[in-house]
Amino acid sequence: MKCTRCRAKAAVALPRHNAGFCPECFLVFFSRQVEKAIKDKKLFTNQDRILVALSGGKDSLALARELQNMEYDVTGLHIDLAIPESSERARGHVIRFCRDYQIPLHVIELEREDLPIPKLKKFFKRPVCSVCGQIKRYYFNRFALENSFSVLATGHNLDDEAARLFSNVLRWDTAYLGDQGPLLPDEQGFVRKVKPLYRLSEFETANYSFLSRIDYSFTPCPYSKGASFTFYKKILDELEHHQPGRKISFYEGFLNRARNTFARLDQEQGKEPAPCSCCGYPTTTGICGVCRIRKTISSRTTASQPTFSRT
Amino acid sequence: MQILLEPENKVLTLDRAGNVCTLLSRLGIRPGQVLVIRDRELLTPDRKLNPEDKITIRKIVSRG
Repeated sequence: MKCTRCRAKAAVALPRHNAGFCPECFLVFFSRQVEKAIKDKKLFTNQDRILVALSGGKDSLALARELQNMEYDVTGLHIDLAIPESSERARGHVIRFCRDYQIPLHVIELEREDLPIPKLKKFFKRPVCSVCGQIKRYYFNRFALENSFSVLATGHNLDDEAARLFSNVLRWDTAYLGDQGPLLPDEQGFVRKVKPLYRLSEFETANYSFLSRIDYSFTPCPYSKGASFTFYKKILDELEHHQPGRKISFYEGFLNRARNTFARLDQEQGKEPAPCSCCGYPTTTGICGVCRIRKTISSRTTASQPTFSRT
Repeated sequence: MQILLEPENKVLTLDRAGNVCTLLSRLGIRPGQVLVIRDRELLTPDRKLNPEDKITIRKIVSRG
């Protein structure tokens, strides 16, 4: 296979674009896709201070590298989940990456916040991935607001977004459907959230990270086995294999033709967020998700404490 | 031909070579789900493989 742009030997085949690219032309293709997402969706400008959520995986590191290449003002934030071996490894990748590319980095340790994921796993029946996601979103948003960042950027790619949309559609979750997209504006205690990689597949970000020689972590989280998102991704992969381009048309079709309808519906029927009565974080449930997690742990820890009586 | 599967770090040895597409098909993997690497070079599905090759197949799906 030859490169569609320069006719050199191709290194990456992209059936959905009916194209192949050599390493140099693939990096150009990738940058253009990111640039198109930023411009088309008006995600941010060079005046914004951008906080990039860095997990140590290919997507977040690729995003930080690309935004830095485009001369945006980027700072990294890593959340150490305190999962034995896995978190140490992920943190090492982030630290080395930020040191090598001279990107300022902040780290929040869940152990210090008394919310280490292994501890939470023991207290909750629901999948720990949803608890973990809730905590990460809380700290990313809070850190961004408290440190005057105007934008929070995450490395969610097309596969993540298509799988999330698929999941939301299966449940017809109008609130989530009205709230899904590459741009969530800043409002009511939430910083602006953006997903500049939404046009690029997981395969494309993996190729980008490899060709850019980014030292990323490719071992999965030990707690993610059996997660429904991974299953949805497999289903969509199968669809994409037989019908190249299906994922982007599913997601962009939603953005262009359905999202606003769900957003309107959510505005009419949804609740307005108000500050959490414990920590002030915006929530529609009186007490925010993270404070509820803390309360659950506290009540169950107290209940399981042995009692001693004096004889 | 020696195959290293990542992230499991599982090593397989196959005698027949063919091309990347047939190799992935034998392993039940879709081409869009992995990077196929030989000597730090990425291979497209049409690339021919040699019996003496050492190939790394790295899964790309992020979990967590």
